Amino acid sequence: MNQQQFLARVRNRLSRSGAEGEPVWKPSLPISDVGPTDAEALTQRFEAELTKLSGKVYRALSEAQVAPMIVGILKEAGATGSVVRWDDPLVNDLGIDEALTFAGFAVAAVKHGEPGRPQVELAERSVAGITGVDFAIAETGTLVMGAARPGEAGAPGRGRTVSLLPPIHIAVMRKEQIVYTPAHVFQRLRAMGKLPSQVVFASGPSRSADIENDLSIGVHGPCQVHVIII
Amino acid sequence: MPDFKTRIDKALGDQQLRGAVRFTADSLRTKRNAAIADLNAQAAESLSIGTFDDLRKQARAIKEHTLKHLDHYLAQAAESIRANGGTVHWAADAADVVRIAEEIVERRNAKKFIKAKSMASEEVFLNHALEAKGLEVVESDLGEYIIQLAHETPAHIVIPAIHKTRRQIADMFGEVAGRELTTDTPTLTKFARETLRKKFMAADIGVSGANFLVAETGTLCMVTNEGNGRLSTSVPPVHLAIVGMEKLVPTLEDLAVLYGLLPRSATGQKISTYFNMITGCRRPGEPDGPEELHVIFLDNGRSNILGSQYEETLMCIRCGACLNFCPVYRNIGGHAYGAIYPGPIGSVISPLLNEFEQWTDLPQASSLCGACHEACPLGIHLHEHLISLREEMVAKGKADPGFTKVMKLWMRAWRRPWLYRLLSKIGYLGMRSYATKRADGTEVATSLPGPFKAWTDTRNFPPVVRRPFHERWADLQKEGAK
Amino acid sequence: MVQGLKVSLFITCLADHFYPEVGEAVVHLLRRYGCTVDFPPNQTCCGQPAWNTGLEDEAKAFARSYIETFENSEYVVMPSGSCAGHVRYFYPQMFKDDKAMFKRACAVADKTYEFSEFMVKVLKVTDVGATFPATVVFHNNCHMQRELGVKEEPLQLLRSVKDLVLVDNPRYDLCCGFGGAFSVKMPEISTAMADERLGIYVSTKADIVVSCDGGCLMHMGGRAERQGLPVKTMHLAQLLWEGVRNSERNA
Repeated sequence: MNQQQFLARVRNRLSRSGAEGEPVWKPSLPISDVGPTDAEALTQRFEAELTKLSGKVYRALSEAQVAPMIVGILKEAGATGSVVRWDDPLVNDLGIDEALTFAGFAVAAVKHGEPGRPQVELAERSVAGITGVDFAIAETGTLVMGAARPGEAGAPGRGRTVSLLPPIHIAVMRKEQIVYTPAHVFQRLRAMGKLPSQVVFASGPSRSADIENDLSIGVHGPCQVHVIII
Repeated sequence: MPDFKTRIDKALGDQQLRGAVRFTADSLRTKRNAAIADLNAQAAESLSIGTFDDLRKQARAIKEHTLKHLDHYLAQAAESIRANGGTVHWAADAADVVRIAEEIVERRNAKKFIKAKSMASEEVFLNHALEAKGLEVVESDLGEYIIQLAHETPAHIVIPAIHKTRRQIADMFGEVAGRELTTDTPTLTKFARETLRKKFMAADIGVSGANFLVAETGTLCMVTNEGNGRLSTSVPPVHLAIVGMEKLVPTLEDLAVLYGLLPRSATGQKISTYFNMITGCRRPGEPDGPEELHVIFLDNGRSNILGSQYEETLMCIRCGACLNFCPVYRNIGGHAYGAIYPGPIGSVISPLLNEFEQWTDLPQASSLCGACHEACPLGIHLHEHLISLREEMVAKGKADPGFTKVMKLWMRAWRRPWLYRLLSKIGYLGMRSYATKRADGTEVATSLPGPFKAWTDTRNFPPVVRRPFHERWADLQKEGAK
Repeated sequence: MVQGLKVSLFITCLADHFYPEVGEAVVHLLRRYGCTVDFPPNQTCCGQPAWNTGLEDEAKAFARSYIETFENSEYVVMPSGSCAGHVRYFYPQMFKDDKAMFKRACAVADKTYEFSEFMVKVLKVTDVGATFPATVVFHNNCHMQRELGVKEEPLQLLRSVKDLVLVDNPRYDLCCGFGGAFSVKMPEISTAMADERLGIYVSTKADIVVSCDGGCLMHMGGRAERQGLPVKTMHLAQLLWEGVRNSERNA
């Protein structure tokens, strides 16, 4: 069956000729004035929600605190071996590579423009993945991460597997990146235009209740989620 | 497949199944109710985008509009997907899907499939077709993996393996592992994680469904908790998505409403652990992601429902709430229905998506209590559709002929006052030989013939009284006049 | 309290043949609050069994008969939540393609009430002055709570009864399994549902399960007796009227 035949059947069932003009649709649930707009209030709500989902939140008073915090998190988790990270503005400038190397970890940034299997295998081998975020959502404790920066034509070094394959995911963000509710993110994504090949909303470590309704944390995705907010 | 009555009897006799189903349904129901109450409370303080009723109303509006213009939105979605490097296919039925999959397999010389949970893929029996060709197909959702090992079908739309005990799961995992495993959740989870991680890394093709597909941007959305949805669609070099054509929504903003309803209704979560939005395949320079994205839009009987009195059922977002609230489902579980989709939604759409005649049993398995309609986040009038289906069955001569004949005759007599009164007398007299006296002098019938035997096999029945109310009225009237 | 209303009684075929004392109780209670009650003699059945079985033509014929019989009444009251639900929820729908009948159906639906709903909403009575020492749990008939939206009124009436302890119904949403013809077409499931429903009631330690629907009472009562369970079933109207007579005796 081809597109024409498929759509013809649909049209037929709807008694449409196909010559009708474009439908007019306006998403109409009013959402603009939902929730707080103050960054501190949003941060606190975000922290409360993600903590409920077994994620951990850390407040960094300055950028300089981030790298030591990351080392601390990894040491606390008993992690050793290699760490993979995004190649992305915020993450690049925090001195993470130096701090981690000094602490005995092998760090590699995802390489922009170098696709393929080696990148995936790098993430698979790593004990932790460090990313930034595009947005965070206070109401639900959610991190929103694009495989590339939304609205940009290029593809900076992010990818999908850094926040997915390693058992530990560490995300770094500024509190100004937090919005209140998922609707705010959808609105902004729509306004930004071109979407990257993937945008993921991640709310805490992966989970399942498939075994006798008993909650398991850390099924296929990360087992631990740590978020550092500047 | 054994007949419906046999399947029901089997389910009713399986105490372990019934306990598990009831426990799961009640757990999900309680959580869903709490999530809705929380949503409403937050709405009162302007801390959520609306109450449950607000969202339900808007969701209906979104779906109604989309279905009304479905051809337009399908075309728009297809264009957007292609503009982002994806390939669009159109499948009239299961055979089309299998053929499309086989073409991809051939071209890519693919051997191994890893699947995220997809009810649409179960509808078309994809696993069966691929395995018949000697290809490896592994279900990665933990519950689906469990039932795949058990060679069974899902017992519930959202939590497929509720009927399996941890002992049974440990035994099955142990066979794969080649060693005995303890039955604690962390051990079993760790085993599944490690085993399936290898499969993700080795797969040639990842298969998924979609919970929503945004027409404006061609974005495929997946609601998951485990991470297998992300893995299946990020690691293998090819992503094959099978999408029921009713999954379309017009814009990204519409997702806020529908995604606000789905996790709350399904599991009582405010949000699922992951919401994956896929627009096309990997872009040039991106470090990972599939090289090829194939989206198959699936009809498979949906166009029968479009433009019919049942069109509303295409609004279903497959949350499973109707199962969790259904007093019939909780007693017989999913397998007894014998269909891909069980419970109230399954009882309605099975005869509509498939051969009507083969599914006329299911609409009978309902007391029409309406709990499904009350729970449904899209407000689908399932209980009314069941009645419409029963009407169609009668009109087509597909209802139990003996029963229908008796009912028709009785109903025709029952409407006429003089026949009604005559039948009162006949009823009374007819029951005389079956009426026995209790200790207190009142009467009861414990064993009746004909259609009433089904009642008295398990329940006592009150005999028709000697003086029905309509005969007592004359006295009551006199009393009133005083 | 509202007095002097003219009420037509629709007895319902179940109450007519199996629970006429419920009809008598309704009449006495309505008269107690100044209603004049009449009983149109040509009434038969609301037609719900036909509708639920898919016999659309027969169901419509019943609807026409009911509409003709009652459309000149001021109020129509019945001791059944499911019959009242059927009239209000489905009669208009049945005639949506017939403008004239639709209008008539809506008009008669608007004046059709279930008994407890009428007592509380129209007569504005919640305390009938009854005494009835017992522990009671109320069974919400599905059609009454969902099609009619009546949940609180029976509870209000029960709470005012002297010496009556009303316990909570922890799963008021759960169907008892009667479902009309369902009870004999799918008897195994129907009975399993009754067992779960009754199990919950037994666990509340209630002596009596009270309901506003003859079908539910017949089904649950019949199963409870067969299983030897320590609960009895009773119609709300009957309990209230007996309670009134108890108070008069005690006075």
